[in-house]
Amino acid sequence: MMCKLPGLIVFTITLVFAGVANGESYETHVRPFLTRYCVSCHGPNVQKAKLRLDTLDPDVLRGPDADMWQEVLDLLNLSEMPPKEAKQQPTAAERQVVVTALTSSLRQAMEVRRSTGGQNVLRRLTAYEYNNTLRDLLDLDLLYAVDLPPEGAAKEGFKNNSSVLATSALHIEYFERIARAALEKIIVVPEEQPAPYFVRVEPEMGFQVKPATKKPENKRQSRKPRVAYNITGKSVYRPGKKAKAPLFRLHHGELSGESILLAGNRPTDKIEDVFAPDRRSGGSLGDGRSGFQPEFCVEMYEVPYDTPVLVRVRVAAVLGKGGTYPRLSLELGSFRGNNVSDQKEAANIEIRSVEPRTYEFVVQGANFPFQSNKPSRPSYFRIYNDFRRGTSKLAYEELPKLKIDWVEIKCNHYESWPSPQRQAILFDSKNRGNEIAYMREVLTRFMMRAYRRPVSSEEVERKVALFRRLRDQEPSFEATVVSTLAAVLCSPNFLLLSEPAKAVVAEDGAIKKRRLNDYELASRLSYFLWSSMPDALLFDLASKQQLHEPEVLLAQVRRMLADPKSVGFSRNFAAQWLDLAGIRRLAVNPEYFRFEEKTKDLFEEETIQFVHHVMKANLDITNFINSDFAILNPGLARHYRIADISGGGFVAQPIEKEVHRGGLMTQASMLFGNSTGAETHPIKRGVWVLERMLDDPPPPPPANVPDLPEPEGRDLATLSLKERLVEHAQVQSCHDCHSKIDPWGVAFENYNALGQWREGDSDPLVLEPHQQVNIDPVTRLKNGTEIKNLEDLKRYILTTKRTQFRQAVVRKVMAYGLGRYLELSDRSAVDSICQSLEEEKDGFQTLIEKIVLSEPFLTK
Amino acid sequence: MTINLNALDRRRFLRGSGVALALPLFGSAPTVAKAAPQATNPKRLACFYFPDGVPMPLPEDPAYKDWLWFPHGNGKKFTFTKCFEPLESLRDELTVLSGFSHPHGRNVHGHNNADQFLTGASTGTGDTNYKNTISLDQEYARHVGGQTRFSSLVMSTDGGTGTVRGAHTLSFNQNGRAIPAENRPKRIFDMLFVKSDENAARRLALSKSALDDLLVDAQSLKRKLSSHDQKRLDEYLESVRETEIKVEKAKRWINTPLPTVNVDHLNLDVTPNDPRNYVRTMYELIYLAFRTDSTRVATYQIGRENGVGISDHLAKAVGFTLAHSLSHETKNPDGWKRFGIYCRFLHEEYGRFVKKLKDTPEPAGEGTMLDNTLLLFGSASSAFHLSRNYPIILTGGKNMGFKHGQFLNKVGNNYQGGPWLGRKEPWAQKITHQDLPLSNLYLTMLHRLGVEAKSFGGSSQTLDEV
Repeated sequence: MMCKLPGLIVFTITLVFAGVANGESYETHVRPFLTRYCVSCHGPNVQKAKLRLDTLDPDVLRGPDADMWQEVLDLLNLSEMPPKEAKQQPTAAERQVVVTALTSSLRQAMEVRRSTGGQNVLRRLTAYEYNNTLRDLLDLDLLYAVDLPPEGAAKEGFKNNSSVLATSALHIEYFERIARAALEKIIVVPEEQPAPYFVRVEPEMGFQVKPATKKPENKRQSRKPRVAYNITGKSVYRPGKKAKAPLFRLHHGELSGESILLAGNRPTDKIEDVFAPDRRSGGSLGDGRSGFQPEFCVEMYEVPYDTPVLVRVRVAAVLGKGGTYPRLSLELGSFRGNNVSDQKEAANIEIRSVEPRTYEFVVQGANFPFQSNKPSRPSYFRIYNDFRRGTSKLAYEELPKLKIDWVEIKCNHYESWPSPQRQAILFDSKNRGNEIAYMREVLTRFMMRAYRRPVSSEEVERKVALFRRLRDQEPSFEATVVSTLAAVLCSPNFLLLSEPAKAVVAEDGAIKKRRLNDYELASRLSYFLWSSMPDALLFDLASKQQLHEPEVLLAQVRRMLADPKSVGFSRNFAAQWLDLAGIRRLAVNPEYFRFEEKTKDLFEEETIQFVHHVMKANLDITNFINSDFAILNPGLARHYRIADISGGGFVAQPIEKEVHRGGLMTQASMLFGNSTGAETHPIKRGVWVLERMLDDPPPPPPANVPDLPEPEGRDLATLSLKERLVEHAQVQSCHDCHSKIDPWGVAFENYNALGQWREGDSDPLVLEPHQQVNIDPVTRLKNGTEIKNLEDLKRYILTTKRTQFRQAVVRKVMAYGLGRYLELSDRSAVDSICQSLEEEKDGFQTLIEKIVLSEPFLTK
Repeated sequence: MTINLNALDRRRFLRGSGVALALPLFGSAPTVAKAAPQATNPKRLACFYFPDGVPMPLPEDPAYKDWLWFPHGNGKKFTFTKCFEPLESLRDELTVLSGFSHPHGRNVHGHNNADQFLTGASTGTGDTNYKNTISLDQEYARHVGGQTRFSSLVMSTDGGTGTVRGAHTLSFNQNGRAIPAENRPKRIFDMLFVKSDENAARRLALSKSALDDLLVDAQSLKRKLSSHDQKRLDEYLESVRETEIKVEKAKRWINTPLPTVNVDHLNLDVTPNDPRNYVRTMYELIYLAFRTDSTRVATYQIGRENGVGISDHLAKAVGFTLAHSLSHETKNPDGWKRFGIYCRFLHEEYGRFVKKLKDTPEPAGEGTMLDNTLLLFGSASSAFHLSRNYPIILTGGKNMGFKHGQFLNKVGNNYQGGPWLGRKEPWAQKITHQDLPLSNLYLTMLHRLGVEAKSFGGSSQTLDEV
C-alpha cells in the first residue's frame, strides 16, 4: 500500500463488499428469506414469470444481476410479492430487514460503479458558463446562449456535472453560428464609424407642454402637483429624414422649473391597506411597471438594433424622510402592438448626490427588445424612481425623488473606432503587412485566452494552416479571421474543460492523482467562483507558476469573491443547490391565489441575494437555517406581509420574530417550489430538507408508485393532506421511507403554497372556497423527537443536526466546485474541512476558501 | 480544400443560358439521385407523443361510456367515445390499438417512461448507467434521410434533450444519444425555408475545412486523456462527425432552391402560452416540411412526463391549469370528463393535421398525402402512471398497405383502469393481461416503409393485422 491514505483505501474496499455482496449479510438475511418465501415459485422446480432467485449472483457490484435485484427490491417494497394468496407470508419486520439490506447494497454499488477514482472528468462548459466565457473573452456582453438547447441537472441538482453535459451535432452547429455572429459583429465592420443617432431632452429647451389627455383626477386633489404631461421635443441631431421625431412623456411626475421631479409613487395615491396590491398588473411587485408608475419616457424611432447605446442622465437626489435616497431605474424596450410591450431593465442605481451629476450607462442594443424593423413603432427608454413606498405609510412628500435635469441618448456609441473589442483581437503590429505572420500573432494571443493555457506552436501552426486554406475562399482578410477564430471557438480545447492526464495506476490498483498545473487551477477557480474564464491577473499568476502557492491562492479567492463577477457563484450555486428551477416548473393555481407571474422573479432573486449576502459578509452558514435578517424589497415584503419596508433593490433587513422569516427554509422559493401550486406538499418539502440541507436523500420510490396514492375506499375530498399522509404511511411498504420524510415537511404547515404565513383553521390569503384548512405543524420525527413547528425544527437542526448540516453544505459546495459527484475518496477532505470550519466560526467564505485549498480541488 | 461550386450550380447555368426552366419541385439534386431509385410514392413517417396517459374509467363507472379513451367494441365494429369526437370523420383513416406496451418499460414509473416510447430499450438503472437505443424515426431516417434536404425533423414543446428519464425529445440516434428537439416555431421555419445567408455555399465549403480541423484538435487532445475522459470526448467527436455529414449533405442541396411556402396564416413567434395555436403551428410546420419534401421523417413530443415542463400548461387550451394534474384528479367530480376534454383537445389538433394531409393530393405521386404518410400518435401510459396498454392511434399510409377503420382491441374489458370505489389504483392492481410488445408494430411499420429490418426494439415479430 503506497498510497498516502492507506486507511481510506481499506475502507473503500470493505464498503464495496458490504450489503448483499457481503457474504455475511446475504447468508444471514437474504438467502433464508428467499428460501422460505420465494424459491418455491422462483426456484429450481418452478420459475414463475421465468424468474429464478436462488441462482442470482449476490455480488451486486460485479455480478450480472443488479437489475434483477432492483426488481426484487421493488416488488418486496410494494408488498406485491409474495402474492397475497401464498401461504407463507413474511412479517413486516422480516421484509424490512431484507429491504434495508438490498437498498443499501444497491446504493453503494451504484456509487462505486459511477466512480472515476476521485478524478475530475472532462466536461463541456455549461450554457451559462459558455455565455460568460464569451462575454469575458470578447469583452462584449451579449446573450450568447439563449438558443442553445436547454440543459438538465444531475441527481444532486448540479448542472456542471459531466454526466449531464451532452454534446450533439446541433450543439456544434449552434456553437459555430454563435461564435461567427459575435466575431462578425466585432471584426467585419465599416472603416468609417457609423454616425451616432443622438437626442437630448431638457425641460428648459422650450418643449411644447400639453396637458394630459385624460380628464384631471379627483378635484379635491387639484392642489397636488400636475400629474401627467405629454411633452414633445426635437432631437438635436439625427441622420436621414425618415425617422420620426422622438417623443418625450412624463407620467405622474412634476415639472418643477427646469427639472423633472420623479417619485416612486404617484402624488395622488392613497394609503389604505399597505398590503393591498397596487392597481393593474405589476402592482403587487412593488416595482410595478404599469401605467400607474410615475415615469419619464423617451420614445425614439428607428433605434438601430445591435449597436451600443449610451444613455446619460443629469440628475440629483431629493432626499426622503430619514435621509433616504432615490433609485434611478432605466428600462429599455418597445411596444409590440396589441397593447403588448416588451422591456428589460438596463440599470438600477441609488442616487446619493444632492448636487446634479451626470450618470452614464452603456448598453448593448442587441440585449434589449428594441423595435428596429418597424419604423412606425418607437422603442422606448423609461426612467423610474425605484424607491417605492412599499408597505410603509410614507407620505408623497416624504418619498425621495429624482430631480432630472436632462437626458441624452446616443445610439451607435463607440468610444473609439475601431472598437476596443476589435482592437483587442486585431491589434497593431509591425507584422500587419504580412497576413500570415500577423495571423500567427493574432492566433497566439487569442488562442491562449480561448484555451485558457499556453498554446504550442504546433497548435498555432495548425490554425494558421486553416487560415491559409480558408483565405482563398473568403472575400477578405477580415472574413477569414472570423472563420478561423470561429473554428477556435468550436475546438474541444475551448468548449471542454479538460485536464489532460493519462491515468497512472499504482501497484495496488488505485489511480494516482496529480497536482493541477497553474493554468488548470486558474480555470477551476474561475469557473467555480465566477462561472467564467480566468482574467488577466489569474493568467499572469499562472504563467509565473505562483497561483498554487497557498497564500497567493487564498488572496486570489478573496479578490475573486469581492469582484462583482462572484455573483456568478451565488446565482448558479444557489439555483442548483436549492433547485430554484422549481419556481419556474410550477404554475400557481388561479383558483387558489390571485398571483402575478412576475412575483416569481422576486422569489428567485431573494434566495440568490440571500446566499450572496451570506457569502460576501462571510456569515456563519447556520444563517442558511435561521437568520435574524431577511433579504427584502417592497414587493416581497408585501407578499410576506411585512410592514414598513420601503425602498428599491433587495436589501438585508433586520426582522422581528413575529414575521416568521429567517434562513432559506422560510423563503418562498423553497416553500412554493415544493408545493402543488395550490396546496402545500409536505413530502416534497421534507425531501427538500433532507436532500438540500442535510444531504441525506431518501431512496427514490419504487417503480409504479405515484407521488401520493389516494387512500383506498375513502372519499378523497374528506381527507386533509396530513390525514392522507398518515394513510399513506400506514401502507406497510411506504411506511419505512415516509416515516423518515413526512415529519420534516409537516413542520412547514404554517406556510401556504406561496410561502405566506398562516395559522389556525383558515388561510385568508387563499381565495374562496379553499380557505378552510386545518393548519397543524406538530409532528414527530422518526427518532421520537417531537417538533412543534418550523422554529422548533430549525432549532433541532442547529443543535442535534448541526454537524450533519455543516457537512452537507461542504459537500454541496465541493461537488459544485469540482463539477462531479463526490466519492468515498473525497471523504477525508470533507471531514477535515468540516473540522477546521467549526473552529473558524463556520463562515461561508471561509468554507469556500478551504475547499479551494483542499486536496480534491488541487489535484486531478 | 476547394470545391468548384460552379460545376454544381445547375440553376445558375440554366439562368445564364437564358432558358426558363423550372426545377422540379421534388428534384433531389442530381448528385443525390443515386442514393435511392426514385420511387413513385414517397413514404413518410411522423410520430407524436403526449404525456400523462388517458382516462381509463372502469365499466362500472358512469364515466365509462363517454370518457374512456379507448373506443367501445372491437375490429370494424366499434364506437368512439367523446374523447374521439374530433376524429370521427377520419374513422376510415385510422386504427386504434389497445394491449400493447414495451416489455422493458412496463415496470418503469409513468413519470419516466417517455424516453423509451420510440426505442423500446431497456435503459438500465440509475442515472450514470443510463443507456438507450435508436428510435423508430431515426431508424427510418437512416434509410430515407439521404433523399431529402433534412433527414428528419425533431421537435418538442419543451425543447432540448431534457434529462435522463425526463426526455424532452422522442428521437435517439444510433448510439442511443438523445437528439435535442427544437421547440421554437420560428427557428424550425427558418431552418426549413429561409436561406441562412447569401454565402451559404461558401460557408459550407468553409465548414468542411473547419470541421476537419476540429477533428484533428479532438484527436490530439484525446491522446492525452485518461480513459474516462476519452469516453466523454468521443461524444464530442461523434457530434463533429455528424455535423460533417450534415454539411456534406447540405452541400449537395445547396443549389436546389429552398421551397417557398405561404405562412401568412401562422404566427411563428407563438409560444406554449397560447397552447392551441402553438400546437397547431408545430403540426403545420410538419405539414409544410412534408409537402415540400424537405424531410420525410418527423417527431413531435407534445409534452414531457411528470408535469414539470412548460408543456404542462397546454391544458390552458381547454380552460384547465395543468395537464398532469388532470390525470391525478380523476376521482374528483367530473374528473374523468375534465381529463377527457383535454384528450379531446389533443385529438382536435391531431385530427386537423390528419385532415389537412388527407385534403392535399400527393404532390409527387398517387392518392393523397395522407396515403403516403404514416402517423403514430400515442403515449407510454394508459391508466394513472401505469406503463402498460399504451393508447395508440395509427393513421394514414394506405399506399404502404395499411388497412384502417378498425380497433385492434387486444385487451378487451380486461384492462387496468380506475380507480373506482374501493378498488385499488391501477398501478397497484394485479396484472391480469399480458400486453403484446409494441415493437411488433414498429417492425411492421419499418417493413412497410421499405426498411428491411430483422428486428427492432427487441422484437423480431410483426403485426400483420394493421
